[in-house]
Amino acid sequence: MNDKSRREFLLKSGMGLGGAALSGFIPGFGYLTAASAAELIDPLAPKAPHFPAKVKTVIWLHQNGAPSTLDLYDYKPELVKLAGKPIPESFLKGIKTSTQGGITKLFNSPKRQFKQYGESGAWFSDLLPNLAQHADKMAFIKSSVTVGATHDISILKLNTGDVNPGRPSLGAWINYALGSANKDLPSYVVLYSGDREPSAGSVNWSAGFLPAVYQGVAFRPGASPILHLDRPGGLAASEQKNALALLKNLNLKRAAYYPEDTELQARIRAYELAERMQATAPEAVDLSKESEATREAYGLNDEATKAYGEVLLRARRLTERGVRFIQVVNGGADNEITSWDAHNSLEENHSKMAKLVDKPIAALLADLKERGLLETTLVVWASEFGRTPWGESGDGRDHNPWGYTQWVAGAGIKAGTTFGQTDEIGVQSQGQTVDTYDLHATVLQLLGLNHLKTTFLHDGRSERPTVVYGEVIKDLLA
Amino acid sequence: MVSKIIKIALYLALGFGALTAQGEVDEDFMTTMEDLNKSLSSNISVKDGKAATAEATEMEKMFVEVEAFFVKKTDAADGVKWSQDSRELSAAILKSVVAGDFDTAQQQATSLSKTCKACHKIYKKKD
Repeated sequence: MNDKSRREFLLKSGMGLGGAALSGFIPGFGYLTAASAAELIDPLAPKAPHFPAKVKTVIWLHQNGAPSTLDLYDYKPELVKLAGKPIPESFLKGIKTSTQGGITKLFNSPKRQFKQYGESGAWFSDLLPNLAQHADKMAFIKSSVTVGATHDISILKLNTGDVNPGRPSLGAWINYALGSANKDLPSYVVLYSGDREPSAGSVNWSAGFLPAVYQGVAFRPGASPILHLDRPGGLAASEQKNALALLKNLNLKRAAYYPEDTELQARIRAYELAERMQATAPEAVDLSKESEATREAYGLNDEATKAYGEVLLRARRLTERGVRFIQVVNGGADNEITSWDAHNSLEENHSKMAKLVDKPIAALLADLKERGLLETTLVVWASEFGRTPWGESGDGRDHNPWGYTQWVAGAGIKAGTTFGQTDEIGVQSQGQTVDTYDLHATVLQLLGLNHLKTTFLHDGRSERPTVVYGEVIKDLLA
Repeated sequence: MVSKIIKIALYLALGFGALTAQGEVDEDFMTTMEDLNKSLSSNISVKDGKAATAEATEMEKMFVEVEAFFVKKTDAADGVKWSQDSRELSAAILKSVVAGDFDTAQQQATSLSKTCKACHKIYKKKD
């Protein structure tokens, strides 16, 4: 069945959208406009933004485990001076510490050295020598705040805007609002470099209450990122085509009786997409044709950076092919150090984790720039929270949701700037803070979407990506 | 109708109105406010002027209670200020909704939510 006959089938079948759209009401969907009826036929059809977009693709680099940005970007001479002493009470006003380590003495790694880079004079520590070369491409957000003191909860908030499961992730909202720019690939892809799916799970790329078709599609790391993409041995192409056609017909007949079953609609879409992906996806994720210089730049020739470098190189290839939202979650450095979560031995953890990401992210920024893609791509360094200036277990740091650094680079960004700050020792943000909702609102703005008007009616309530919050951080925008 | 439902819900949530009359603002009261705030945001979004008017009116009244609660505490000047700001924002939302300016009302509702969050950071016992 071709596209035309499929549409005809849907319109004429028991799903009855054609007739129902005339009356304007469909049980389970409520009143429909002509546009929303069209969406039911092709929910991933490209949709116009609210205003001209600066960004076509977002690469969302989730630094899993929460790095200490005090040891990467947020240089605090006062912390160096006060290391080993109790934290002055005045710095703790208004914060509720429910983290497991309690509040101990201030801690500073004696090996840490900071230098300013670029015309912007942005501070970088010795842990990020390669990223430091791109200082002038970045806009730092040094007053990031969030809620929660445990990883899974704050990761959920980072990705969905809420601490409870059930809301759509940012990528799903974008997929819903803009549709797909490449019908042969998923428009929302999740890449991870660990040897298993990130511990916080697929709820972080879920469609939540949006139709399931908008959820993210996870690609595995390694040489075969998409399982079962090849036709099974012994099955002729014509046999597979016939089998899929039969399956689609059966699914469409069932969908006609249950038009509210978005899981089934998503499954029909997934089968169609999978069929098209058999032809296009292997090439999209195949790194073998990349030049030796590119492989070297991304760190593919070094075991310490290979896994993360591969997923970032894949991210660039997907960017070239119009994937709208690429969510990248880092794995660990080795069997012992599985994330940035340095409750102890911060020096060892961060040396290895920084090495894991520093060269590949620097290569990604350089590569995007060289190919002209940075003009339409937004790269975001994000984490679920930061880490405390006080120590834990002697040489680690605890979780800090009150003040930490994230950055954005690329299209529409006021590059080489810093927004916000933390206090003199890096406990809390000062002045205007940037919560996850604000970051989401800003990303949506760059994609041409007004977060207040990106809405979906769920259980009788108009929901939006930023819940009831969100403020576009205009100082970050060019 | 919506206004009636809100009033009944408030009546039940506030323990027949006795608590707030004594300047007590408890967890149930705040939960009701949070729900009301979410509903208000939704009704502004779908441009339901009648429901949004009723909810903004209720919010403004409730912030009078919150303000009284913080005044009574005597050591919570910032709480008094936040509740005053919130009361004024509720009134501004009401004005925008009545004028049919839902875009401005949504901006104001977002500012109101941010003010709530700032106050909760200091005074809410748990997140």
